[in-house]
Amino acid sequence: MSNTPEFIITRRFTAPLERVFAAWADPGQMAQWSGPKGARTVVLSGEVAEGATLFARGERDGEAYVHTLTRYIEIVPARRIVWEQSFADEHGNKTEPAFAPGWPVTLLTEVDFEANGDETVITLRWQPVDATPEQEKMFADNLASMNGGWSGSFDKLDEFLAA
Amino acid sequence: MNEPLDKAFAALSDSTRRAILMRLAEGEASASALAEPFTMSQPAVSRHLKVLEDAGLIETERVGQSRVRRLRPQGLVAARSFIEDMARYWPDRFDRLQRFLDETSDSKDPAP
Repeated sequence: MSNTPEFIITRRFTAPLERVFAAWADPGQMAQWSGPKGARTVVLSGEVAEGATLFARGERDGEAYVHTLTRYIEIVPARRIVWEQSFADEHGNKTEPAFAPGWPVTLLTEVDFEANGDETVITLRWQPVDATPEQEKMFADNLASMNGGWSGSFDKLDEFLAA
Repeated sequence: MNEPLDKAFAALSDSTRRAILMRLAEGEASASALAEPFTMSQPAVSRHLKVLEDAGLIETERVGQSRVRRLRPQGLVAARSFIEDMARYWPDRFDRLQRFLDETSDSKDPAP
């Protein structure tokens, strides 16, 4: 049994399975929704294929703020995609991101797709890979225990910061 | 490297220190008032307060004979924004994915 902390989220999408799957499997489509707000993703090399690694740059206001390596482990059309994503430097070497010291360098993402009539249910699992106990703790504190964790208790802090 | 953020995250990595911050979000407090909810000695609490202060997350003000601690919002904003990014990582992307699917649905022209 593994003690690695895991974050699980399920969401129902109002679109047919093939379209939802394509939005993940086609890098051109994925780039249109998968970056953070106000950011865009530029694919530098690679492709979405089992065993392949995609090297990408995240840009905000036209400036690179992150590089990522995404190694696709399993792609089962219309069913499942599994990949490992690591933070990297601009040369594509895995590294801890400067803006997130203590955060795991590599995260495993497993996405399962299931049709439900015209809708699609996605279940996504996220967990650290080869992380130190400290990195696992940071991940667990912030995500694996969203309800009990302190990210959920920021409301009071928000009120304070807004005051 | 980003030393202030390093320090902030190191300070935030401890559950007692996070609890202290949550308490201070309700209002400033003396060290002894902050120690009350915890089963730890005053010196232990003082050490936690020093770590938080060194990281720029809280500040101390002398009021008469006593000293009160309060949050330092500037220090918290940077650390907070990363945590929030991560906690909202998939929920945000799922929102955007649904919008993307809506915008490119068959009833409209597909995206070029």
